[in-house]
Amino acid sequence: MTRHLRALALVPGLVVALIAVAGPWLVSGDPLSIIDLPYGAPTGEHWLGTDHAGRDVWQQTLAGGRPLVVVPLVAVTLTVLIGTATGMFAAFLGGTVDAVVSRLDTIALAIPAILVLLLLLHSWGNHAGTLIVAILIASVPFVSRLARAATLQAMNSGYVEQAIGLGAGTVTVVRREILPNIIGPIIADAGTRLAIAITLTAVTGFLGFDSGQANWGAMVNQNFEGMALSPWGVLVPAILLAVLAVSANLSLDRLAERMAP
Amino acid sequence: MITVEDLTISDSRGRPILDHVNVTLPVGGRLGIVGESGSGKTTLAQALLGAVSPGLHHTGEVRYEGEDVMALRGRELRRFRSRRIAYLPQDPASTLTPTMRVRRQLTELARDKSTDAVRRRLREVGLPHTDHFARRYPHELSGGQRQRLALARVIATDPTVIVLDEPTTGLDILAQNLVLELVDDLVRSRRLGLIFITHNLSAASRMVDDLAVMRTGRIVESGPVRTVLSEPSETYTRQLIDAIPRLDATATEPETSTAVALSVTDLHAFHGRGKSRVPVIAGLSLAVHRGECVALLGESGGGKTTVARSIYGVHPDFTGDIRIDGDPIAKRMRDRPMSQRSRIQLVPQDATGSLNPRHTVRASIGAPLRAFHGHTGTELASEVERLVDLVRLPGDVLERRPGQLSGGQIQRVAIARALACRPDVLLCDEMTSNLDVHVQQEILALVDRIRTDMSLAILLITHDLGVISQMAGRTLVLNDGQLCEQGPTATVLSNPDHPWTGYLLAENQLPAPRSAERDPVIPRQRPTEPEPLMRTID
Amino acid sequence: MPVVRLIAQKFAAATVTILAVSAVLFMAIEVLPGDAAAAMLGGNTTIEQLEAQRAEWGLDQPATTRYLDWLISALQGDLGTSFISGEAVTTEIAQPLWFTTILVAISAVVSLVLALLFGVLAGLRPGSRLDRMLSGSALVVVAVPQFVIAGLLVMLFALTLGVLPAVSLVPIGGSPLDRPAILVLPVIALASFGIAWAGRLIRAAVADANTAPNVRAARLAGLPEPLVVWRHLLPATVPATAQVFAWLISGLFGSTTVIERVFNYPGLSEVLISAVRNHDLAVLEGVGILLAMIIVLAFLTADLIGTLVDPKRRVRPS
Repeated sequence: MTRHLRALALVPGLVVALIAVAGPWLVSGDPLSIIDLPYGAPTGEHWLGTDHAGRDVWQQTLAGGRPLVVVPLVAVTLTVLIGTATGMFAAFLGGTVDAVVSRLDTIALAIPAILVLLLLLHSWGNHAGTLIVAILIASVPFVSRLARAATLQAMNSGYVEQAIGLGAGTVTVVRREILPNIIGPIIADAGTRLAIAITLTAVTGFLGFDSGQANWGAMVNQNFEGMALSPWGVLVPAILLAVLAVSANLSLDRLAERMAP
Repeated sequence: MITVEDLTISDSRGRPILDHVNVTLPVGGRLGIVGESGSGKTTLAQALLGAVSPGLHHTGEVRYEGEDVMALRGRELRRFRSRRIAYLPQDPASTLTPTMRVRRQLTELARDKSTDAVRRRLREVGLPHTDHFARRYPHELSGGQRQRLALARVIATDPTVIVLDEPTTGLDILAQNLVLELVDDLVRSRRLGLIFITHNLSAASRMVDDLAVMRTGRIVESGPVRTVLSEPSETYTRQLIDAIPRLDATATEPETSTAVALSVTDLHAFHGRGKSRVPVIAGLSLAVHRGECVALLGESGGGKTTVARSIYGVHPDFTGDIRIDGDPIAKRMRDRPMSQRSRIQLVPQDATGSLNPRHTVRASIGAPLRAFHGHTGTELASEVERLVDLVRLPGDVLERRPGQLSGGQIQRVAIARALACRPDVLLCDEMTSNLDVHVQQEILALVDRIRTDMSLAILLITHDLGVISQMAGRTLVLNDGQLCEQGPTATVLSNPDHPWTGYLLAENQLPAPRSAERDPVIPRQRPTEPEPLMRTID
Repeated sequence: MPVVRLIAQKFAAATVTILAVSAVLFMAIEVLPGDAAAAMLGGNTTIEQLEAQRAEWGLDQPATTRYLDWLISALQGDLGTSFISGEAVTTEIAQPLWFTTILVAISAVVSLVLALLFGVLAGLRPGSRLDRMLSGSALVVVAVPQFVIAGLLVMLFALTLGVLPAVSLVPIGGSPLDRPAILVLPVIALASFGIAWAGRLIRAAVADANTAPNVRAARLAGLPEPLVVWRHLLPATVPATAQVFAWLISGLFGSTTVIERVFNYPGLSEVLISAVRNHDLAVLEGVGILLAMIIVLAFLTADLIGTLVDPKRRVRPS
């Protein structure tokens, strides 16, 4: 019973993702153009009313989701690839490589992620690239440590050295013996990484860094004060964000469960 | 005192794990329940304490002095467990919580928490009864002391019955004997009832008056232990008895004319790094001929596994010369060419860890076939099936993963995989120590057959003297990092030269049923344990 | 190895890490494009004025010299002077740091207590309905961005129900503790993530420790369940729990930046964001190193707790 519930839970997420990705194509005109008085109530023409600057909330909703789906996905994919590679090879090769990688990871983990984000945003502005780099810096150390620990565990269990004795070369060992066994925990962790990536992406808009485009995070920030007058500017993007994040997390969790032996 | 009346425990689908079980333990009596894995004995052991795993249903009763234990709840159940009955699981030392001092371990469950009581309990199990000792933590005690402490802990509540659930599994011979002797003493001096549940028929028969044999949830035979052992009425019982390796079995002696397959010269092996690097093997030389099986005997932690791993190439911290058929081989497995890797294979102690949990049996066995012999397609499939059949595994294990197999099945897969390489030398490290006697017998017979068929050279590492006398023509005894004795098995086992060998042998007794009359309490003479000169690996 | 030596070793390692982090931060901030002087003085300034300003701030020196100067002063407690306000950095950030710490501390305590409750209850009965409920909600809470939760909380409690203030302004010259009501919503927002995240990890540790032979044996020996959990199960989870707590603290300091904005709470986030905007390198470096220190110290503490709880470490001279 719960399994079917879980599957159903993915549907809203997919819907939101669809809105986010396909939305910009449905936008008519410039979503950030001022069309009416601020905090106007929903009308037949403007389905969700207007925001703090008098702009159409519905149009912004359509336009403001794409960066929140694309950027985190790209960032987390890169994070997993890079982090898994560094962690795995650090554990496998041992010695100096391991020492260096571990040191770097420890240092990176001690640096507050928010600080990094703010610095980068201010230097380079609110672009996709900035966010991806910030997310990478904040997330790769985690994945790297995880991959390293999982690889060490695999190596200590005995089947890796057995594989070598049974005729496997280094590449084969990494591909057949180690990778399949560390993928599980990494995918499970990827859910958290994705949630953090989405948060960081949304927070950027929320903290007021203007990207020049509609952004759900920014909407929550900007329309916050006028919530009592017209809640839609905050409520709609907030709920969409929540559903997206939860759904992404759930699906990655399920994927990890499938992969567990 | 305890009667199990028509106890049936079934799972959620109605399949019985225990099927109308009836056993009786008279007051102060000793009952042994023997069964292999899957017989339901653990479920029975837990039922004696009123513990049934969630999800299982039961009918029937377990009566302690007339009262049904299975019907007890909450406080009454706890009182029963703490005051009336004591329970020792496998490896009793593992029941000690590492953050509790000795004194606390002994007073936590007991009613009398005075210092005098603590001293008494320590003395009772042969532990130093000083305040200083009472303040120690479990990790500061030796293995033997921990076993004693665990026993003292459950006895501290002054129970009337003690239930032992597989107390000897996983322990080496010396630890096993320690635990059994201790229990024997305590049961005698306190006049406790004893229920001894195990798969180890010989251990059980030493300890009990009555024996019950379990199979797939049923008691197939029961009676006084002497009767059951000498005149078993069930075939199954007879099979169990026959399967015990006997010290008087004879293994074929080697023909010294055959070539030397494996030679090790002056092996010095080390453990640890930097300041904590210590020698574990100090100058060991051995040779195994083609078609010969040589046993390596020694104490737990004495370095036998290190020898095997060094030869196999996964413990490179050693000096010495190793040759296969006269050809020298590199120290590290990684540095050896493929052709050499196939010639020597290891069946490790932890077979479960040696199988990749994400690979099916078919994949695990197929890997070396592919790598070493270039098999593919149907040729590969049929060879895998042949090997699986050889180790007496059913065909349906092929698509399973290690998580879905039992310990015995995993062990056999590891053997099949090793044989797939068609090695010249096979290193077997405690390969049957966790198996049921039945299965062990089959595997030993199999390995023996292959040895003669394929002229395999086998180095057999084990602590089981019965296995050695059955399988190995020659025996080497490892003590203190060196060979203290070697020679034909029959000679070494019956007429040892070195005192250490003598000590090992004295601790391993033949299955001799307890006499029906109570022996008077005789203080036992223990040969003094020689101080090891070298650090043993924990 | 004697305990004291072990602790000293860990302290040394932590110090090295902090130093390394300070260097990395410093260099990273250096690399920031944009000119602090130009930002401060505005558009219509001459090059001489800009260079004079830079010299005043010491920006004309090479980076390594500046780093060492800064480091030496920092070790003596002087974090330099703010470019914008001219005040000592320490004075600038003292009060906001204090306010933020209050918020984080309260949230951390609430999180830990409730996370432990969650972890133990769910971990002892994995798969039960209680467990599935708790774990399921935790999963949802962990995934949702915190400012969304904060926003929804404000909408519910402040605007709709009107029981709590929507904005957490602190009375001038006072402290947040004078008006505890303003702390409630921010703490809920922060702690909700903490409970969900830490609770899941503690649950895993408890479920794992529950399978240990000594725990089973204690139950079968007739010990009441609370004693079994307290004496035999929880000690094994302490190292993992301490680690989780350290992560929690470092995560909370990061999250407050956002939450404080939602509630207009006068903590570090204001200082940080305006420092970034105005290129106030001194303040940035000061805040950065303080945060890094707190994080490293949290981990050190967790590591030490884990070590001390383990009796194997407490070697006694026999």
